Amino acid sequence: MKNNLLIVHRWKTLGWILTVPAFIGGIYYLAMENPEALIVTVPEWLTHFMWIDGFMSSSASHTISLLDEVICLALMSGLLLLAFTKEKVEDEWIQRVRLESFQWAILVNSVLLMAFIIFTHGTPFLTVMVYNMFTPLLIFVARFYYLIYLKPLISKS
Amino acid sequence: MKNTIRVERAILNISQAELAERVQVTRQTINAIELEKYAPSAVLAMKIARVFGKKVEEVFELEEGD
Repeated sequence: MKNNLLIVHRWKTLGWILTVPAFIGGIYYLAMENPEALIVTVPEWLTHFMWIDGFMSSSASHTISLLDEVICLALMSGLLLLAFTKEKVEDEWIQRVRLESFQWAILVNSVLLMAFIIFTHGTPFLTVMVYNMFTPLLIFVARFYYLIYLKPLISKS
Repeated sequence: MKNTIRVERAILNISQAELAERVQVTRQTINAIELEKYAPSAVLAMKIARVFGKKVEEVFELEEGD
């Protein structure tokens, strides 16, 4: 069975290189409550194409911290690489585990989100949405790699 | 679907990894098939049977409910 959405195995290394530091950075970022770093000044002409401070356009130039953008993009692209790279031998059982893990991730994420919709109100829900940007891919990666690598090791010993 | 892969491997004296290499799948796939947690495709079942020099029906057998 051919799966044209998957890319070659060697990109997986870059996936880990991006994911691990970005994941730690993300935890640090949330723990430190939005620290600022990589501050840049957005030129005035660019502010018309961006959504800064809640308004679509602004005549003033803005300084913004790029730390959260870098962490988010690194984590998301890293997780995407981990999810969409082939295994060394991409056989039919792995394809099935891959499909089931995607289904599992969407299901678990949706159930968790529904629970948070019921039990979270007001601004804390924004925090839920921040986590929710990554949970489908995180759940997929955790389950897929557990079933492919960890579970066979555990059941062997 | 039941199978006799473990027995056939013992007769040929080959490991899961060796069988996996011969049919171009991962060792985990052979393990999942042996444990009857995964029913292989027709192509893979035929490849496995060919390694043992047997017909597919001699290695794989349908169960009640299949």
